[in-house]
Amino acid sequence: MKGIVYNLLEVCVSREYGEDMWDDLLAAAGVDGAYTSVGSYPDEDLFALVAAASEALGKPPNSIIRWFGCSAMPLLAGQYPSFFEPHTSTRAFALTLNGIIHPEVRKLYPGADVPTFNFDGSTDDLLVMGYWSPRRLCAFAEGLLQGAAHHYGEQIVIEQPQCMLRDDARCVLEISLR
Amino acid sequence: MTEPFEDVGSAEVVRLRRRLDRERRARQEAERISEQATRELYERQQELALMVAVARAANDSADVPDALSRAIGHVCEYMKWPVGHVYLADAAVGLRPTTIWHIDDSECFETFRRVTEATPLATGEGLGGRVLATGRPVWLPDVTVEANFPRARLAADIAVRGGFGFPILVGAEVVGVMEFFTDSVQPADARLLELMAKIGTELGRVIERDRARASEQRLNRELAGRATELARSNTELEQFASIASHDLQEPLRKVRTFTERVLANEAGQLSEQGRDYLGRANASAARMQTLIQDLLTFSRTATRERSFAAVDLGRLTADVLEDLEAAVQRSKATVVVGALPTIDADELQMRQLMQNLLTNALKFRREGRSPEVSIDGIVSDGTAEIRVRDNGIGFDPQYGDRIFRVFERLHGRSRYDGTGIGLALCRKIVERHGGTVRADGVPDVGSTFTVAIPVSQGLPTPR
Repeated sequence: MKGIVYNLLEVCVSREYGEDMWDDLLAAAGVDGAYTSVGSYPDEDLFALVAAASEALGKPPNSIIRWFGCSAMPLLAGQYPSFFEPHTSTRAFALTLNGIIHPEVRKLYPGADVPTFNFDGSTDDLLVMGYWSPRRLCAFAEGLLQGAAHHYGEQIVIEQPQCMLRDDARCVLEISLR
Repeated sequence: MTEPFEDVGSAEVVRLRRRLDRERRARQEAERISEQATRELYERQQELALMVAVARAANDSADVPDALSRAIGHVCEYMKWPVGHVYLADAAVGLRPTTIWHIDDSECFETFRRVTEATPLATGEGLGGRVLATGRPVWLPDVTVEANFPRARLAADIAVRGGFGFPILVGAEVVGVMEFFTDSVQPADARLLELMAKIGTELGRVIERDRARASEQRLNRELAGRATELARSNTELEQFASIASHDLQEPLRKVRTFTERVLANEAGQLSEQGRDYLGRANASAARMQTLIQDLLTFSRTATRERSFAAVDLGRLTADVLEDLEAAVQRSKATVVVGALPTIDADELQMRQLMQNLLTNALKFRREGRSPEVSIDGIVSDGTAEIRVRDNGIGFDPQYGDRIFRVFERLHGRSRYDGTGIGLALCRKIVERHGGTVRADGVPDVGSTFTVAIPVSQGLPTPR
């Protein structure tokens, strides 16, 4: 996992719960915590931090991950406005993930292991997004999409008829406007 | 020394110290990554500069040795290694050493150079031989401890230690091997070998281009040689035909003169059979005379100097038809002459061409059917196309080419007289004018002869 993810998590946690909370989570997770955005760190660090946060806040891990995705989006929008400005909707933004955003991510963070989504946008009011990753972070994708919807002033509903966490081969995210 | 944070509670100090430590380590990590990225970027730039230099050497070198020599220099400069050398593949020995080198200190590596240039390598032998055998780059950290490095055995102090070689490839074929050496032990560098493999492919293109050029030159030389040979042989043939025909005329004329005199003056003293024999001999001699005259005309067509002028084919055709008036009347033929252009041509030969085509059209008529002949012409794209059509016996389309050959006759002489030279002559005349002639026929329907000749032969425009 690229250090940028840990940096974003640190900012989100510190903003919402204070800097001491981040110290506590690092200690509880037993991770080193010296993360730089361009470095690469074990995925286990993230899951240990999520588990620690789940314990500390009394919320299920997936809800923490979803919250993280949603809270990280405004930070990303501030840091990389050019990915957001050309669009006016969550749907249009999401459709640029494979072709534009992830290639750019690979340029900025060599070695970044980003997931590939497949899209079915054949109906106007529903965007179907397939997700597969050994990290099984579909909740992070959900959170990021919710964050993007806030950015574009939209309210969206995400259903997951298939999910790797329920032993499906892949996750399917169905996104519609509320 | 005053401790920082001394007025803050000790637990808070520990916490802040920890944060500071984390930040410091994160910064150091970021710096390390950044330095590494900068270094890698620099290395990639150097690689790219090397590739560009080699590509330039490959493109604008005068010849293969020049390109290889420049490429070796670039690689040595990039590697900061003192010695580079090239072998070229040789079917007989495997690898033949060349005298193409880059040597930084010629005195120091003199023994190595001498031994190398005296030692061809078999497939699999030594560094180069292994590259030749596998088609892959080979790295030797220390050649002096290598069992398979003959040059180390041949001379005690060759002054080189680390070395590597890579193939110059044309497709999958190893056409040469480049080898580089330095005076210290060097660990293998996979990335470098990969870069060198690319250079080997680039240099292979130089050799490929050189081969193509050599093969083209050889073909051109062969072609030119054959053309000269053909021209010589044609000239000889024409001279032979001309001389033979000319020299045959005189005795033949005598044969005819004397047989005619005997027939005129001594006929009474001959038996009927004798008179018949002599008559036949005379007729044969007459036919032979026609044949020789036709042959003479045919051979002169080629040897005659070009004397082209503007020829009005309409007027010329009218003249020819006037000459053929008796034959037209005898066969009750209808001849329709359409518009015909004026072209640059040899007038005498055009007259011959038209006369032969029209004579044929009248001669090869169907029994019980009056000949209908039409002549017309069009000009397009600077070419005059003249068509002579008849409703005669026609011919099987498969003979469309054969009828233009000398002495080729599709019909027996008993039915249609002639020497079999007329159409061959037509073709020769047309070709001499830079044109083509084609025959299309349908048996028992008729024939069409189409002559295409350039309107202009590049004559100066008359004032």
